[in-house]
Amino acid sequence: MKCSDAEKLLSAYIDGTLNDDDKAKFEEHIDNCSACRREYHIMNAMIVSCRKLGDIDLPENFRHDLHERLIKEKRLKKRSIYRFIGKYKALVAACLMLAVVLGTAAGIGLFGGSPKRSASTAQSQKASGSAKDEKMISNDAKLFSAPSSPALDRKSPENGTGTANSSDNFVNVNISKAEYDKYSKDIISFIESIEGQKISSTPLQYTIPKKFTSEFISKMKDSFKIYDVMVTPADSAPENDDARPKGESAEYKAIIQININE
Amino acid sequence: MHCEVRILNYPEKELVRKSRNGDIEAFESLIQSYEKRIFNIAYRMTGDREDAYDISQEVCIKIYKFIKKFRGDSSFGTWVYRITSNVCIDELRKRKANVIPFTITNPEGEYEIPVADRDKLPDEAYESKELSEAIRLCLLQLEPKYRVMIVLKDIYGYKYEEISKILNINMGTVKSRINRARKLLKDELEAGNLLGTNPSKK
Repeated sequence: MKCSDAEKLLSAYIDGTLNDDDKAKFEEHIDNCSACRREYHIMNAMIVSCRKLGDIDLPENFRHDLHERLIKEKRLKKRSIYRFIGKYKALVAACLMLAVVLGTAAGIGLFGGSPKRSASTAQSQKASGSAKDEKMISNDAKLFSAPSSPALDRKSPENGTGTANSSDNFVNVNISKAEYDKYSKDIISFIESIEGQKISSTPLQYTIPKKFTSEFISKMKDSFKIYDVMVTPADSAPENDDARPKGESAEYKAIIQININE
Repeated sequence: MHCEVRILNYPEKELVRKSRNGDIEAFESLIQSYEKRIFNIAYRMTGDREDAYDISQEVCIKIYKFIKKFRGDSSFGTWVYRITSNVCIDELRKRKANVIPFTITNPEGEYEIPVADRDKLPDEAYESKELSEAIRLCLLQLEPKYRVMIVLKDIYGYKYEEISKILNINMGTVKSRINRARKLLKDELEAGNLLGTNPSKK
């Protein structure tokens, strides 16, 4: 082995990542070459010293300052969402129209949900039918309290295309025809802003990432004065977390069903 | 003014989920396991406490802002340190463009590199306190892309594979950069006449 070869292997030798063959050759070389042996000792000692540098303490005001900045950041974030909606209202509306047209043409909501689970779970969801949803809603309504709850007595309308999974939240938005005409575009804009992409859904059912459920509900209440929003949170299912595939939590959805009452 | 950050006792995954919804309390609980390391990486990269403070605050805000983009493909820590490294390297690049000098500009003037006792063997010399200080300063002479290698590998002991994920570069590049970074750091130390001159031990 030449000195130049030994130099290339030095780092890996110190880290113990050489294979047996290279390791033996390297050791043989430094046994016989004092210059490379010296390099090895110096490098080794340097690395030991690096490891000893240790940490310095966080400045005392670090957390306090961060806290203040986070609050500012949160405010900014909120404002920018509203600005986004304002700015792209027309575009969003156009996309929506397109989605409606496509959705109607296809007859079924092929767009919502991941293709993997749509086929099988759609069946089971349909089979269990709306009775199950009704039950879930009345059981869990108290968890996400809607100020007015006459909707509990209302019949939950048909589920539409069922791509729901047991780990998904189910959000029922009960509104009158007049309200729907007035707010539907804004609601969809909002969903669009959450998704950050084109709506992929049928006209009365939308899918958003589950984590946005509470944001969606407060938006409905605060901006549109739609209080009749009912959530069946999947979080209440105890097996939920373990059942999630690793790192795939983003895939879990909240299914938003808009129910228009004539 | 001090600030009590209430630490929520949830698993990390849950804290990430809550932080995604903008929950500041959850985010503070989440980030508190990382902020000291973030600050120290920034400190080793810049060699200056105030710069490290500014950078690490910025890193934390970025993490809060972009946590929705964290997909869980890597561990949260890996993602955090990726942002930290990127912000540090960007910052150092900006400065280079503005020609703001680092702490060491002129070894003879502003700052004097301590000279190790020449009678000591290299190992002993390196273990001295002066030498740790010399390493800290010589590190700042390296290009950021090599500096980050010494920081992650030799100061914090990350494995090749972890570094590859943090910096988003392939393993081959990680290995060759570490090798090169160490060589450069050693050269800096030697240039500052910081080494014992005893040719060999054993």
